[in-house]
Amino acid sequence: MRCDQARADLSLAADGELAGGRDAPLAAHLAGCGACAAFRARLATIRQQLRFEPVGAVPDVAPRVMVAVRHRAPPRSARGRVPRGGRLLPVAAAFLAGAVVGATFVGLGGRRPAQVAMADLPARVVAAQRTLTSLAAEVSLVERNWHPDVPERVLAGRLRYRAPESLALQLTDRTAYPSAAWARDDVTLVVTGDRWWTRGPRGCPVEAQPACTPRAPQVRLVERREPFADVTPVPLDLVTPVRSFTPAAAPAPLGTGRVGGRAAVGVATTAAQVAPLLAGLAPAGNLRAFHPADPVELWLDEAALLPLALRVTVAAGGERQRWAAARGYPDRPGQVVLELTLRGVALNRPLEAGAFPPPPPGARAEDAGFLDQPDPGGIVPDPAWLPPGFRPHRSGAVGGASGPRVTVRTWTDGRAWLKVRATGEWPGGRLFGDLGPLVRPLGLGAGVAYASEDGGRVAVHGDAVDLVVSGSLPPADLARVAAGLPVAGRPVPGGWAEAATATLPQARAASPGLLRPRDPAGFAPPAVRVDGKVVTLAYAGPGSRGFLLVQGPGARLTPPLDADARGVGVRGRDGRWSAERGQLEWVEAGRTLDLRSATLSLEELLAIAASLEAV
Amino acid sequence: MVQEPEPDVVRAAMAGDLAAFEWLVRCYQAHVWRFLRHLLGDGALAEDVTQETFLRVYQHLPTFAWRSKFSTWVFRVARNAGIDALRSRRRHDQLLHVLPRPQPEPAPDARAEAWAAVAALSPKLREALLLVEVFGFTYREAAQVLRVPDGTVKSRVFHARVRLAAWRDEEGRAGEV
Repeated sequence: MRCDQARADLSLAADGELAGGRDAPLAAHLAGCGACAAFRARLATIRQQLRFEPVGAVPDVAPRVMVAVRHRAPPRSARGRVPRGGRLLPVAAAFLAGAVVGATFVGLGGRRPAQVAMADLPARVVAAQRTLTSLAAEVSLVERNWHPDVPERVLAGRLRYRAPESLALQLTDRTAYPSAAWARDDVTLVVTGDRWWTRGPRGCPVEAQPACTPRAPQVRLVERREPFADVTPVPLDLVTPVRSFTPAAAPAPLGTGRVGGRAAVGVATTAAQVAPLLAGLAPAGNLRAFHPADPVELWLDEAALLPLALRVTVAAGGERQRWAAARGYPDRPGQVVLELTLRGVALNRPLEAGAFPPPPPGARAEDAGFLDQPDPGGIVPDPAWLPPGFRPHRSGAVGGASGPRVTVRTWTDGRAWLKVRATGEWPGGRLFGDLGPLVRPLGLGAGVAYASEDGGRVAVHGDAVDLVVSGSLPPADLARVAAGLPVAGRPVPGGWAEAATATLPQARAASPGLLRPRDPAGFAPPAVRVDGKVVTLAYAGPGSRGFLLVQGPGARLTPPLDADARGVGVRGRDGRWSAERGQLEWVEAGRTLDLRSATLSLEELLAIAASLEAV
Repeated sequence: MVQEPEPDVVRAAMAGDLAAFEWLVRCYQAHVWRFLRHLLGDGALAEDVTQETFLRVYQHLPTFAWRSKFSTWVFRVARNAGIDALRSRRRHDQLLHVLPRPQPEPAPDARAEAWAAVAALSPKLREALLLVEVFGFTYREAAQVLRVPDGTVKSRVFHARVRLAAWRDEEGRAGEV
């Protein structure tokens, strides 16, 4: 054996990769070669010196990373956290028989020109939830391009709902898979008050199918669940799509027609806007995602505004194609990739026995720790105002051992709900109630409250109590409930995460010449932050739609972080667009502007940019 | 050695659970920073690139396809971010007519000498050696990080070791003079 071969083998042996049968010749060479024996000793020394390196203090980047990701829109497939979503638009595929799909949409041939007042549709959706007491319907789903080897998946099942918070969604996978190696996507979600359980295949990336999904379905059972809990959500948007229309955004009308024998009104919207509804189809299972800009045709029951049919189409454009390619979806522009239909709809009638089946015997329960108490004590004060018709629902307390003890009261009216959580043990650092990093101050008489970007949560920091109001109501109603609580809201202390929260006039004072979009339709008023001379405006729309505008002094952009960044004209200037980050940047009048969104297209962002004007 | 996280934690982070994502950041930030510090030869730059690495991990989590270990995937993201930083610095350095060369931290002991030798390797040899020798990846895993054939990793690690051993010889001779 030559020395160079022996040393190469020593290197392999050091890494445990020397092929069998080569040990003996190597040993024989080493026995007679002092130089190679010394080389082996050096390798051992080098390893010891490099692998066991005292590194001293390691920088902790986690806080900065987390601040950045919380300010940044979630990655595209993770949009829509609870309560603003779960995974981005994952959808179980399902279906019944071909005839139904055809009938659903083809049967709408008799569409009339828009005769329905679309401007008040969001308000009507929010109002309609209060008249709903029960629902029974058969559900069918067709999902396409979930996997290159499975061009179409078909699921069928049933949906049962009883107000306010009992729901059962059971889907059976009827897909003709290429072989028995593919796990069927049979899914069940059942919620009955304080019990929540699911059964379905474990979530598994599509690219790794079929091997990656365990054969046995996973069962998860949670008991003593808090009413309207974020972590064990009930997909209430399947029965009334309130969150897809709050904050109010008037969608484009498609006209009227009939779906499954019921009068329906159609609207053209996007996957981003109906993200909460689509997420509601995915209580468990292996589901594909949709691009936020994918056009969606949504047909609502004309009276109950229940979603009767929905169709998702692949958006055009290179960015959409790259998005699909990265996920392995063989999508073609214009292709229909999801069709959802509800048939046999029965509203506000008694449900059959067994509508909400119990969990499988032997399922191990997780204890969510909520203790129902008719009178949970005085920490949650009585609101001076409740929407007419709201009645007390469940109340009680949760937490206490390792976190603050939180008292909870809820009120409901049909499917509509309202919740107040309160604690006297909040350790501070940020507002109680998971409002997110960008909040909006609200004047409350003599005090102040803070609303989340979309207005869906209102927090009050009092002298001895911290509260949060949430519910399926318009932001103005939630603010009114908060204003009626007998707690003087204090501004957040200086060290808290929301301390940089500002009003627009304050931001203008900090940054003269501040720009903002002119009347962005379909978005709540902005949440504003001022960090030194940098001002951030956050606009939330319905579903997962939203964008951030960050501006601060600067004469040029920092170098691009992405290889895909390209030049684009913005307001008559040279700008830069990164599709990967959903980020549009440019320099204007001595300030850098950064407009970003994970759910709006470049065209929408350019339109917003074009509308910017001085505050 | 670099540990693997529980798959459920990764899935939760992929589904948008920020607490799970933060947990992953805290698990890997020390490994990633150490790798980048030696790849880039600059602790402060490594800190910036570590932050950038986790922002990229967050952005690309939905594309993680379980074809490799999660740790391997994180290192690949870190390595790509590091290479981008190196290229960026190289462009900058070329403007200044200065050859890029990582600067070892001054210290007199043998361990520091070994790290000085690592810093003197070319980036290709250095990154392969770091992954295998320092972080304990197999050739196959390192090949996944670097997107090269297994044999290339094998060869680069070997040549890196030969240079380290030779460097020690030269240092030793210099010390005897």
